[in-house]
Amino acid sequence: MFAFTYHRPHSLRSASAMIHKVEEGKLLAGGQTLLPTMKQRLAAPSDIVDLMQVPELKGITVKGSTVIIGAMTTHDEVATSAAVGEAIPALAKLAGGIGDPQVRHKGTIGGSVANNDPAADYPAACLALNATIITNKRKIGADAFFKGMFETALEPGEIIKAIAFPVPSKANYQKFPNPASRYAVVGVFVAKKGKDVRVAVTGAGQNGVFRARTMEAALAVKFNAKSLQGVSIPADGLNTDIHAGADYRAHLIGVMAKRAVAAAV
Amino acid sequence: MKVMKFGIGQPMRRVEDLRFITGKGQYTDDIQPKRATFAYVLRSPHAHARFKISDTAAARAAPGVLLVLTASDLAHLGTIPCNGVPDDVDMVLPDYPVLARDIVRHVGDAVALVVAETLAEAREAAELLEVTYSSLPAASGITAAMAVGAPQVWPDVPGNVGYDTSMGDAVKTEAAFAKAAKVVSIDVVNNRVVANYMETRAAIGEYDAKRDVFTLTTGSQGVHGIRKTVAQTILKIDTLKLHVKTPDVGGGFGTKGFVYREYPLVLEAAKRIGRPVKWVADRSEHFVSDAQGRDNITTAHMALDARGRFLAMKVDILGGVGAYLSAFAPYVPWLGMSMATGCYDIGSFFGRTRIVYSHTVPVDAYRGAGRPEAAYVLERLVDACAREMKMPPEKIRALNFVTPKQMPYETLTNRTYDVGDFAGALKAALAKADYAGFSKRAKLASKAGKLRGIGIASYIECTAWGDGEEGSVELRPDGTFLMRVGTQSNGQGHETAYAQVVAHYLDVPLERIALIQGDSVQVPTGNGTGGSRSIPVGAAMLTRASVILVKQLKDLASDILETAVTDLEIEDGAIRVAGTDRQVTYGQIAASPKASKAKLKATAEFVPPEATYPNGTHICEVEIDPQTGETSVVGYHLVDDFGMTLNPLLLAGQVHGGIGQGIGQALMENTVFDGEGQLISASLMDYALPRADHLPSYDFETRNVPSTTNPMGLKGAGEAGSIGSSPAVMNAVIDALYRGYGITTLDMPATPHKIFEAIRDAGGYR
Repeated sequence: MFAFTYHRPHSLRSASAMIHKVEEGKLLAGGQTLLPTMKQRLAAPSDIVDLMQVPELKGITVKGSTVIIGAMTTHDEVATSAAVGEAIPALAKLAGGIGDPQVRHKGTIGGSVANNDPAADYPAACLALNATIITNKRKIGADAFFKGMFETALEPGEIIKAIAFPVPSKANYQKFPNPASRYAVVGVFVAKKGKDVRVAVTGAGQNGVFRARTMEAALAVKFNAKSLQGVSIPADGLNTDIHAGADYRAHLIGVMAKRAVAAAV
Repeated sequence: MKVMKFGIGQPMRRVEDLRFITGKGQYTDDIQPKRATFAYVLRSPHAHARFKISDTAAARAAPGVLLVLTASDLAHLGTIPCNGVPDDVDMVLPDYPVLARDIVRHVGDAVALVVAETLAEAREAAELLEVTYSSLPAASGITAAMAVGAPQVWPDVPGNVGYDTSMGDAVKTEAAFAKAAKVVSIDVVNNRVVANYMETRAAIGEYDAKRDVFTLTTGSQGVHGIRKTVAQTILKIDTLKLHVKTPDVGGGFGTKGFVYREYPLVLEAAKRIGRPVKWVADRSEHFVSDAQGRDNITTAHMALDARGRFLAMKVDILGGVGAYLSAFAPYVPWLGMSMATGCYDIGSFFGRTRIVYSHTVPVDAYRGAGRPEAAYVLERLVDACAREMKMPPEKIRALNFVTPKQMPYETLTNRTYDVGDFAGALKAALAKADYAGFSKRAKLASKAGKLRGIGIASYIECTAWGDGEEGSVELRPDGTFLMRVGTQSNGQGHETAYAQVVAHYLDVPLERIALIQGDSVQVPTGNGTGGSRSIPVGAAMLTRASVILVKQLKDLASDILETAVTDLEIEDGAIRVAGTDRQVTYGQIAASPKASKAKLKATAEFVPPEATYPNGTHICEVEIDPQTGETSVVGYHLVDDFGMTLNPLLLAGQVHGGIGQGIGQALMENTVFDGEGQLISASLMDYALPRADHLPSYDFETRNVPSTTNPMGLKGAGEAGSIGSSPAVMNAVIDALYRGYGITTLDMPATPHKIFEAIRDAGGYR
């Protein structure tokens, strides 16, 4: 790790001021990706602005048919929240399957969404549930937010405040985890809200999380696993690595999507 | 002898565990010598390159830097020796220098050492070293290294083949194959694995200029072998000028037994700067600086008669050794060849073994060292034979086993099995596994959309051969006992196991029997832990020492109590006149003016005349999800013959851990080098180790037949779990895939991806 200056602001306003003032600053939102990267000397920020003590970024609230989760809410808090469990059980289950207990107690939803790791779980939930990412400047719809691998619509220094999830009528997330890292080799989040069906795939795409439109169309006709029979995702544009080839990922998207539809509640 | 409550055979809890689970274990990295400095090893990012260090001045001038060492500073040091050349094998031994000279030969090859006041400063300075690499073509792995025109790892080893040797009778074997009713052949890969002990390697070097004595503190598998090699061969000093200490060790598996470059480096650096020098590997370094395991490619053939009897067997083994020859590297595949015929009585045998260099991390002995590879080839071959002969796998095994009546049995590979009842263990394991009920379970699984398979592996291995152990047991002034043994616990629980032996003879609680290990001054000699030898050799030695000490103490008690020795008995931490309450405690004996140091201490030695041959049968049951390719181990039953059981809890611990490693190797652990020799699976984010939820509960029991080669009848148990498991798991996986799709072969690790491809290629998704 290289030397850096550590800041711990106590309000969103001062966090924003700090991150704009410093030269090559990074926001710390749990640090489950950033800190290992810094330890391996692959990242060398001049300043770290730790959001842990910013009160505006905390808490889970349910407003009407929307669940709003503060950016600094840990995965464990989401996984064990009675409110989330009742409103969107698929989201609570997803959070409980991220990494390991250590990661779940430090890592946060805002950190994960801002990082947009192509194998992270939360981007799939945001996209399938049609979430809104609320920052200290604006509101961004999930479709516009995820721009590609590790890329988002966030501007430099822009801070995610919370993520608002519309409560679906049915949803489920199925993940085929990498046996080593437990990131998603393929993760498929399926959500139905009224007539609208959205299917988001993480872990598989070369440009990060994406929507499986052909599956959505098939499921919009009838929300049943059988509707996905014969609907395949092309292997082009999918990742190949030592854990899975693109064709295997394409196959797994089909399997996980069917399982998610069958299990959706 | 009566059963002692703390003694041999009792399920005693581990006395060392209170220390470990309350965080009081003392590992090398926990030791902080005063004025310690910190070392960082700069390693090659290339698999094969010519290199030049053009400037060290900037690094030397960097803040906190105390020393920079490169190969040119170390001309006075010897190279790291290889002591594992099999008898009758003639081979070139390439130089394994303490730091690479001019050419790096694998990613992670050590290029320079930087010592500074802090580790961060040492790392920063290492980045200032001007190293120019001009990369050369690399031979990445066995197959690439064997290709025509492959890049050469060593100029004097043409074709990268380090040796080419054979065993058995080629003519007789070919004749048997010529008249066979059936010939069955397989090609198998035994995948390379990374040890991944919890505690990475670490070393602290110190130098006492006044006495001209070096001290090396390092997590090892025995201090004496390291002392001899580092002192005599590398530093070129008298053995007694080097003191080697090993504190608690967090896992060894063979891999921590070797001399590594950092050991002489921290000593040399400590002498130069006059302060202690500490080096601790991080996990990434472990992946490229510690010897790796397995890495064989083998072709095997069996000739059978019409009834399914094994007439003859041939094996052709390619053993990868990586770029440099680590301590026992050439011996490991040869050892595997010497166990190639396993539990079976085969008419004739011919084996060929070649070791192959490549531009990859060195490979050496890892839990089982050659024997898991042998068992894997043989048990896969026997299952293939069963399939082709349309015989049940248990029947073809029973038909071909060496029988108890044939014992002692001379194998075609020049070994003598003293005892063993292979068919008995198989029968017992089949019963435990409810083998007969398998087809019902398979049907149920099929209804749930799963493929169920069952796999048998009957193994035999050899342990505890060669060198002996000399050690002692002494009564201390406070009435407690002290054992000195030259083996080394890496977590196995020697403090408990050894104390049980002494307690058996002296009837004292284990807490009153201490063990000194891991100190080349306090324990004068030793041959370390490896080859499952600590119990069969170390405990056998302690038995002898305890018997001698009992006699000496009874003589003293006889003097003190003025009673004939024959009237004395040992009970409850004292020696008493049988049938009376007249007694003398051990404390009183130690304090008696009649006691001398010599009378309170017994030294003994045990040298095994032959190896012990533990054996048994593992039966694994798996379920495969054909949609995802994922395998779950749903049943695991095994019956082992370990000769006799010193402590059933410790024994189960060894067996469980070994099976965990075998399941890991069979299903998950994948060491991947790319075509350029870069290690792609170089962290735990990509290298999958089994977690608790990947492993089943084990149904384990012993069916012991005492060994005749040591006084206690023991057979080594440290490696057996890893030997029987990988073939049992893979036979189960292939059984499931054969039932579902007619698939007859698959290499380890049977990852979901690989199973998906096998099912796809068999038309399973059409």
